[in-house]
Amino acid sequence: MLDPRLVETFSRVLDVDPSAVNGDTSPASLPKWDSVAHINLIFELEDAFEIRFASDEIPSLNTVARLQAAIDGHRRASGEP
Amino acid sequence: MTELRVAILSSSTLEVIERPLAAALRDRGFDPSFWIAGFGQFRQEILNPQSGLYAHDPSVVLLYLDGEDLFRDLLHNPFASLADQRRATGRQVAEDVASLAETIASRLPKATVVLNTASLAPLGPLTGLEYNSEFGVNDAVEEYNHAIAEFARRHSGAVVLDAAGLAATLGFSRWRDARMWYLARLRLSRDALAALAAGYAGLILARVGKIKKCIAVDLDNTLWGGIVGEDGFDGIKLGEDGIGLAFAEFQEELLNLYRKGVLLAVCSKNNPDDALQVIRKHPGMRLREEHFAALRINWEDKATNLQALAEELNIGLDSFVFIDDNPVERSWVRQSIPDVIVPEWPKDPVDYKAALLEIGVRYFPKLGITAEDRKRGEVYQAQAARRQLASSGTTLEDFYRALEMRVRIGRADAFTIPRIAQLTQKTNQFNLTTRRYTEAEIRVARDDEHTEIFWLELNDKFGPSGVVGVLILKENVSGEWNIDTFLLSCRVMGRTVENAFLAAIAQETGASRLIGEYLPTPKNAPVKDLYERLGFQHSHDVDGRRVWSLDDARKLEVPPWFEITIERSTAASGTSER
Repeated sequence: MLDPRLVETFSRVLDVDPSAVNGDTSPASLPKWDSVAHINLIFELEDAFEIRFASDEIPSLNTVARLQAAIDGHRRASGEP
Repeated sequence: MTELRVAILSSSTLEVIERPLAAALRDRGFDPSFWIAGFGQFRQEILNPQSGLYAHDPSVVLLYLDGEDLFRDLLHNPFASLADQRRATGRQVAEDVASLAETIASRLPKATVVLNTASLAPLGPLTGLEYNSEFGVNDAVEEYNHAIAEFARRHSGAVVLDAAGLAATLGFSRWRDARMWYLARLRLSRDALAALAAGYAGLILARVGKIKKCIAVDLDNTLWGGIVGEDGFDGIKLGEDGIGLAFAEFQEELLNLYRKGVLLAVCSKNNPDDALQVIRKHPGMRLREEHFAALRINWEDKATNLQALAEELNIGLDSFVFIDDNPVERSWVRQSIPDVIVPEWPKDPVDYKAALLEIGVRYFPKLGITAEDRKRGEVYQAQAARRQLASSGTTLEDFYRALEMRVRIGRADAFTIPRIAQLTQKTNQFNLTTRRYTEAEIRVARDDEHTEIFWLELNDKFGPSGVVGVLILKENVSGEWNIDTFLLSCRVMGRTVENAFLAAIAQETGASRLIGEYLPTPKNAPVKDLYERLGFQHSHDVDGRRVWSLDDARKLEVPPWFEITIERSTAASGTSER
């Protein structure tokens, strides 16, 4: 289940319709998701969820499902529900 | 929205700034389009005349050079060089950057090139040694910053963004994001990119945009602590004691804005006698009546009072920023007059000064202070005296004569170009074509032999108004001149200065035929019929422009109540240092 805030942030940063965002969305299926967009996405998600991704996970977050899993992991680690 | 072509070149990755910069520019009324140099390509792009940089034809070139890139060699072994060598290195690096900037300026003569001050991480191998031993690196950076500032002062096309100051404001540890450096060779953090974007946008606004003109302030709990009607003259908090100092220092910052040419006005629900007693007599007041261009102290609602202030000062409501501690008043003004900027305001008076400094940077950015800026407050006060004369019940002609108006007219020169550019940027009402020009563009136009650029300075019995008019003419064929720009500052409207200006210029240029156009904007309806009034014939309409012509320009007459001087060598007195 994707967090609505993730879908909102993703669709805003990549300028796509929220309905087009699903767990399998990736740079391969969405060419606009290039390296610059990826940094923007990381910055915006960190701001929205008040988390900080580690340098080794940032390059591997290449599907929306992986972004969701990483966000969940950081929020669990900081004790949020 | 003003279209703006922006090029970005950097010593490290900077593509990511496009997003926050686009947002900051749109927020300031620009519609930007970007071209961004590839990683490590800035030098080639600048040197190659066929590069993408020049193909984009930008009006603004942002050249962001990070201290750690500029001084990479010094930092590589910080113990290898001594002070003299380091200072020489700082100068050499600056010379290299200056020559790149000059190359850009020579190929894009109308563009603004933005350089930046550099800084280095305060925590490093030299911490402790820096300033205590022969080892250090900051002397190189200081030399560099000094040299590029010097360069920018000499070159009208170059300006400096104080990126070192932005880094210090944010804190250097938050300026960097180590992850992005190692993953993407991006030196700046998200917050740093946002601060840099806001810094660039403010600088661009100061250079080519429309800045606000007036701050209207509330009184109780804004200029002083407490409510004068309840706490009394002696009961309000203002001055050296305790929290009273926060209000006094807030007033001092308003005074600094006044000194930079921002108009101040009062908009307060209060008993006028109580409030004026504080303004005139309270020992803690840093601002006095003379600093306010206009005051509205009564029990009317604040939207109505702001409208009255706009009328009295003859400036648009969209030139106002309104400061009030009361959220109800703020929201009332926001919904009644959306044109007025009403910033959120801190609850705690200790934060007022910082909030005002932010407002200054955001809405009143300045890169220089003209003589007009420094005396603007006084000029608006004299305006009030003129209005009184006008309402003293004589005929209009008697009023014009009683003003004893003296006009000086001259051609654009080094002293007057900054003011001429400023007037083209800021004038909205009495502006026939609303063409905005930068100093560099005015300079280029002046060198064109078929273009004439005139300024007009006005004095009257109440004092000087400074340089308040600009006429730019382009010769089509011998004796036939197109009026490219015809503008007057709104504070001298309604005094037939336009008749005097155009008549004097027709004589000076020997023009036989004049072509004028009117380009309608939401603001310039007051001059819709100007050319008709001056005796021009309507010729045709094209692309929404009304084109007018006057076949016998020599018939234009200077109204008899003016004394006119045409300066053929010296500069306007209003632009010299006081």
